Amino acid sequence: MFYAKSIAVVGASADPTKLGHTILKNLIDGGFKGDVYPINPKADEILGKKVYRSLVEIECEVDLAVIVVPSKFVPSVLEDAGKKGIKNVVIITGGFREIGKEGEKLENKLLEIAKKYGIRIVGPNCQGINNTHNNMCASWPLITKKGKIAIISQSGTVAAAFADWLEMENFGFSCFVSLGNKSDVNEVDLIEFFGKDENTKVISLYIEGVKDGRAFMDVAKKCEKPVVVLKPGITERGKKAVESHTKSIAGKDEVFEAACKQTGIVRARDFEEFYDFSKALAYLPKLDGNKVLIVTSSGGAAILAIDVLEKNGFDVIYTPEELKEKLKGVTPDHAILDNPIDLTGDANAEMYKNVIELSKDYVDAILVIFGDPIEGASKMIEQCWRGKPIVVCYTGGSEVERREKAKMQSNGIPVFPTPERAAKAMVALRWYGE
Amino acid sequence: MVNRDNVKEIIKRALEENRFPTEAECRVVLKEYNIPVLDYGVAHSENEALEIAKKFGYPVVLKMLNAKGLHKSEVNGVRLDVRSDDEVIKHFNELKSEWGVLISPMVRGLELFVGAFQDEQFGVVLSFGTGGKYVEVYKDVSFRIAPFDEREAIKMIDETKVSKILRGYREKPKNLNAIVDLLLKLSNLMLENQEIKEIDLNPTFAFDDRIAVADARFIL
Repeated sequence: MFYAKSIAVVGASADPTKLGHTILKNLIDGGFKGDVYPINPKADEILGKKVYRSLVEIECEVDLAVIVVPSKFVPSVLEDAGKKGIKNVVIITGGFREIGKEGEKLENKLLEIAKKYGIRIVGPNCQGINNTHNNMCASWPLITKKGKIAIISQSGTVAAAFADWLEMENFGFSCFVSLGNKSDVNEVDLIEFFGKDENTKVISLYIEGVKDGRAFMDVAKKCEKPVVVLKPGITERGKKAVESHTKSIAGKDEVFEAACKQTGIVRARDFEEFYDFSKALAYLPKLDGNKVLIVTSSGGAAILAIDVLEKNGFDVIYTPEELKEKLKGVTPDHAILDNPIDLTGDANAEMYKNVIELSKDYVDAILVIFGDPIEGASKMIEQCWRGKPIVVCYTGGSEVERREKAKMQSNGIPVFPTPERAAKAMVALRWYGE
Repeated sequence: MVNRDNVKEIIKRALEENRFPTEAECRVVLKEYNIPVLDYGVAHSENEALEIAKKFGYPVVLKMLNAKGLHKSEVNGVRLDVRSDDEVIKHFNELKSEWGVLISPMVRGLELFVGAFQDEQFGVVLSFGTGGKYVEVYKDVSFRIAPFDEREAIKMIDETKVSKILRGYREKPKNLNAIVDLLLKLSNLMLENQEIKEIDLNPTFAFDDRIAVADARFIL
């Protein structure tokens, strides 16, 4: 499916406003190395590619078919795929289970056909798949930046926004999977697959529900990579006449929360955490322990971070006297050497570097806050970037910040825009480390 | 050893009669699983009631028995701190039903909540927290999906506020192992008897060295 060498786009179109055009174009423009076969009974050539009338007409082997035709035609296309020996299918088309009884019947028909031929289906009603490491954007928008995070999402928009942010921040992603109706391939299959995928370091999952709770727990427990989950809670359900206390206080969400805790899943509370946690776990080293030192140029920003850290079980240590003595030699006279180490407004990159190097052995992680336009921050961080986690927040640095941040992130060093978000990212590292 | 036949029989009978087990039946099931239950007796007459009360010594508690899964306290079915023969007779007559009346010694201890239910998605879920009739108000409860081990049970306990009291806030620490043991046994009970949909053991008392279930309710 994700490492297909040849792809057919069924419902490929010459009309640039149609999805059947966008997907074909994204495959081509994204630099897919294998063969691409547009299928359309009424065209001869689209985007310079020879068009076939149906899947069965293609002479060569096809690994993956992406289907964009109206829902009523999907069953016969799937039959063709089966006859052609295609084992992997992505159905973009909507109008199935999500629209009610009729749609459900049609979707069940697809499953029957798939079962007969041993076809695996992603979708229907989805936004496709994109494996950057296979240059395979069978989706939209076109994103080609290779990264380490696999995005699996029941919402096309959540996935697309997530992917977009990762590209904007120069991280990219490994793979994007829009689950759609999850008629066949679901979160359990994908956690298992990406758990073994060498290009993926973190699996980020947006789901509205799980199909099989036990299977989900089993696969999450076995997965050796961080799994970050965003799942909206479900509000109070109707009460039964006879109900135990235990059930009335246990919403679905509490049960899901327990499942996460027991399997080591890192649960994000909102979209922002979902993004930040994924970024942190993919690009920061493992965190062992809870002792933190904060190096900052702004006292206020550091206090905001301390609140989050302390609330979540971190120990923002008092600077040991021995370390204080060492720091005196490399910091200005008016710097505050209690943790947070406040270098104040005239901090420069060199001071940060010296403090970080001297402090590393005393704590498990360092939170670095650039609270002013500090030039050379990126170069300095790169030099210190080894061993224990250094979580970076750059804020209030305008032009310089934007430039330095871009540099750091293109080198795989995550930068967070607020002290709280940086602190929370550290909390996520700790959760996973436990 | 768990006498599974006895347990299955109690559940089967209740299901056949289209009712829930009475608290007395629930207690028998719990005891079969070696779950510590507060002393009790079931009286079917005034004389039996007086005998049981005498055995425990005053004060005692009298509780209505029913097979409808009612919250007893909501229907005034629990009489606490009963201190004389006259009071026993009066309350016995007000509470009596075909199932008799349950009598226990009146004890004081830290009130805990222990529960379990079948979840459609994840199977058996256990819950633990602050007990008493305001469980829903305090919502100091943590959850785990069964089966789980002792380590996970301790994590589960430590997620609650009441764990701080159990671990010795302003008084002697309580026996945490007894609670872990109860959670593991209750999880077994649920896993082996899928006909039971929900269980409330509320309150379960924590004393310094042991715990005891003081009220039990099963929903089938």
